[in-house]
Amino acid sequence: MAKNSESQQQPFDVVLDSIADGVFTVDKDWHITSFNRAAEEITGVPRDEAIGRLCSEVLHANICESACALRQTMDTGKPVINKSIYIVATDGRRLPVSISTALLKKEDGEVIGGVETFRDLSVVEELRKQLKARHSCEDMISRNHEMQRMFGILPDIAQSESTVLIEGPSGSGKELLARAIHNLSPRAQKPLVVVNMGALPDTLLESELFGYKAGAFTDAKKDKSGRIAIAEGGTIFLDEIGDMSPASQVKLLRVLQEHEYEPLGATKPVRADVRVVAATNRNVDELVADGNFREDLYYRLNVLRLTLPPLANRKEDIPLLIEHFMGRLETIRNKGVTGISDEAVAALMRYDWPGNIRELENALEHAYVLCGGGEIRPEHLPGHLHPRPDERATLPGTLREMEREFITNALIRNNGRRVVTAEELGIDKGTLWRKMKRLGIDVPRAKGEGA
Amino acid sequence: MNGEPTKLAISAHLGRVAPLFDASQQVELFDLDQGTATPTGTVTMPGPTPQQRAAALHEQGVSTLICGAISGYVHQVLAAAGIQVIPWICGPVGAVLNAYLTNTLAGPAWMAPGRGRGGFGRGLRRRRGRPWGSGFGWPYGPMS
Repeated sequence: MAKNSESQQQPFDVVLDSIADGVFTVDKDWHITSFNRAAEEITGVPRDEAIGRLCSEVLHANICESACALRQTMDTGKPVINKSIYIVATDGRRLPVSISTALLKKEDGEVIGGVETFRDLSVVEELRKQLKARHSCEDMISRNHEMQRMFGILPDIAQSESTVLIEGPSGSGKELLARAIHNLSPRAQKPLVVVNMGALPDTLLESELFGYKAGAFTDAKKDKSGRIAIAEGGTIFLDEIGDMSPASQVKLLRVLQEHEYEPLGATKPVRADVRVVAATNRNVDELVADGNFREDLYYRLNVLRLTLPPLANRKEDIPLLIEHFMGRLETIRNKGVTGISDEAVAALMRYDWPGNIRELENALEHAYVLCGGGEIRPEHLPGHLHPRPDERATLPGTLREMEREFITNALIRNNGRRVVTAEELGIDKGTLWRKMKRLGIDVPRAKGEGA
Repeated sequence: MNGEPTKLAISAHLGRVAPLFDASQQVELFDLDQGTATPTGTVTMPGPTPQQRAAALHEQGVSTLICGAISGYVHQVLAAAGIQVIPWICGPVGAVLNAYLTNTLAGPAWMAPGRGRGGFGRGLRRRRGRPWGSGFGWPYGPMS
């Protein structure tokens, strides 16, 4: 029968069969009237079984019930272009596809149905996932050159037992980095305990960190374990160590030096088997130089030092982070937010993010709450991110201007070093050179870099 | 069929079996007793995750689900929750229910295109090679 139908194929069908995208047409009652070879391949449904059936019972797309693109086109007369959806093929696999729809008209203009084309995005999706995996380490995501280098050495750092000092501005992901170190370490099955040292007054520090014995003070009715005891065998993350008082610094130094501590009211010291990861948003070198941080404690902490750059220095990560946070919000709240407009991304790229990733995450949550569904637009963003009218004129308007500004900033940031800039941007040196020439970028070379 | 009536759910949309359970919004519930079905209402699916869907059906005491297409993972989650799934069914809910009660649902008339006669192309090739795929075909086990 298939052979017979093939021999009777009309020129129209031959053309459709030569297309790599799936194509099908429906009449006004949603019954399939033609179904090309690629559609058979993608869906797993033979043409002779598809013809005459309701399109929703052949395609099995996630939008069939709620937001049928063909229905939208039939209702409004407007085409839908490149909408990303998924279908379930006959083997039960979810396939990401991109669909476009249009009206099907007779020569005299009378609408006789609709046509839908769909492209299998499985390979694209797979590549996207691989790229994402390349740009991530545990829960951290970055394509920034410095961050990528850090991701490379993180497993070795995690495997060691050495104390780690993390530096980075507020909201840059210090706790996330500490978690990554813990999760990649042999201590991963044991607890990670987070202590904000800046929030603990001296009077509480000892009892919180070391715990106490019953009767140690008036209200100590029974023994209480300290954070170090809770982290036994695992990792203790001491955040904001730059804000510790001198008295607290002495107490912490002893733990680091002796690997033991005395709970309040105890008669003998307790051995501590914890790995210490400390973090600060302040410049510890300066604190030491100013006499505000003990030098001996600094040397105890500064065994392995990792520095997280501020988001302003890794703006190339903003699109990745947007995708990550939006995906997470949509998974949790399922509000039907499908993406973010180019203008909104441009507004996010222009801002310097003093609050770093945390501020970006909050701004996206704000936009997500205000967006009723569909695409996030600039007006959904917090007010301070809206471009001012006078600012609009000076902002790069076209993609070309944005690219020019982006590459120029990257070159300046890397002191004109072409090789490092190319690596940071994820392109090769030749591509960078061609883009600089095309966009008329003239940043002096770094000393030592040849012509 | 003794004691408590069996609870059957049919994933439905506009009076027909919904095209894709993964994204369907409602199921119709029936109590089955002595070969008869009594409608007991509809349940709105609480969210998109298979775990949420399985929990909602489990909460209603559903033991069997008749649905349209379903992805392998969602099928596995429902099966793990103890719900027997009869997938890839299409047609009007009433007629499908009747076919179920008369043990004739296994016929190609109710089977979604591409599933009734073994499929075509990649879908079929994959199904042959994937162990979980075998769980999607007939027989589904006892129907009563």
